[in-house]
Amino acid sequence: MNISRDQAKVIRDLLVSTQSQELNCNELLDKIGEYVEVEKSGETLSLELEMVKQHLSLCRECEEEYQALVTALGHFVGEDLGED
Amino acid sequence: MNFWPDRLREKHPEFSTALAELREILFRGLKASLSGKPHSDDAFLEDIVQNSLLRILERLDTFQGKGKFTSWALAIAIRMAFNELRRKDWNHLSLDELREQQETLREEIDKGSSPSSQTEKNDLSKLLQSVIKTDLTSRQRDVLMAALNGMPQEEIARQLDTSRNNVYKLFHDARKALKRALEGRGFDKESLLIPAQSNGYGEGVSS
Ligand SMILES: [Zn+2]
Repeated sequence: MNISRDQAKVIRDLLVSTQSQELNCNELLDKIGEYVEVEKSGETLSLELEMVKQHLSLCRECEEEYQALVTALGHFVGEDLGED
Repeated sequence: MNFWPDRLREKHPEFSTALAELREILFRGLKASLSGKPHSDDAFLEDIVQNSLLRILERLDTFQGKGKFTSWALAIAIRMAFNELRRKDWNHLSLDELREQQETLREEIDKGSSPSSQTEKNDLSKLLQSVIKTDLTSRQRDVLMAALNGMPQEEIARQLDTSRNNVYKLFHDARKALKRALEGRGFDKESLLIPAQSNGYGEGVSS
């Protein structure tokens, strides 16, 4: 397999972010709602939510879905969604 | 207290009302987040909402209650929508075709090099190319190559007859193997790209 110099740079960036323990996409799905809420509140991220952030830096699909969730939740700001 | 999961149990007196409310929330949330995306008309959204509701009901027990239920439910619906949209958007290249494309890159690199870029040719791409060959399994190579070419994970999973989760695992294992291989060649652990000692690959790596 040959790689271009641009692809090498992409791999380099991926390797810089790579950790020995990472969440997979399904594990992330169960935590992403909480992550968006905590991130928005400005509170410190727990270790578990730091792992969400790390996964988002590596996974294009989850990052795209995260952005969509932020937009969706933004749409309901100020509305009572029956949570309390 | 969070009552959504309770209200969504079939025996709960508010089951139908809760389901209708959640349906409305999912539809509006998807519409807001997918606005302007091709293939995401109301009929598409209705289908996704329907399938998401089924998935959410199946997975009620996995809701950990740490965040809001509606955020969790919306995340599930959004994933289902994107899975479908990515499938529609992908240009249907196969892994075989991508492998071929990737092999022609060598020619382009050689054609494009001028004398001043000779040093850069000795750089990270060459080193990576070599460790990709020696340190990755063929499935790890496939996943890495597909990811570099923007193939969605669901599509990689379909072509490799596995799950998106497994694709992520292959991708993770590939990155760990490459990182180990680079570290074994003298790249500092903390700053992967700065060689701990001069090893001939330093030039151009960090440029
Ligand atoms: Zn992911």
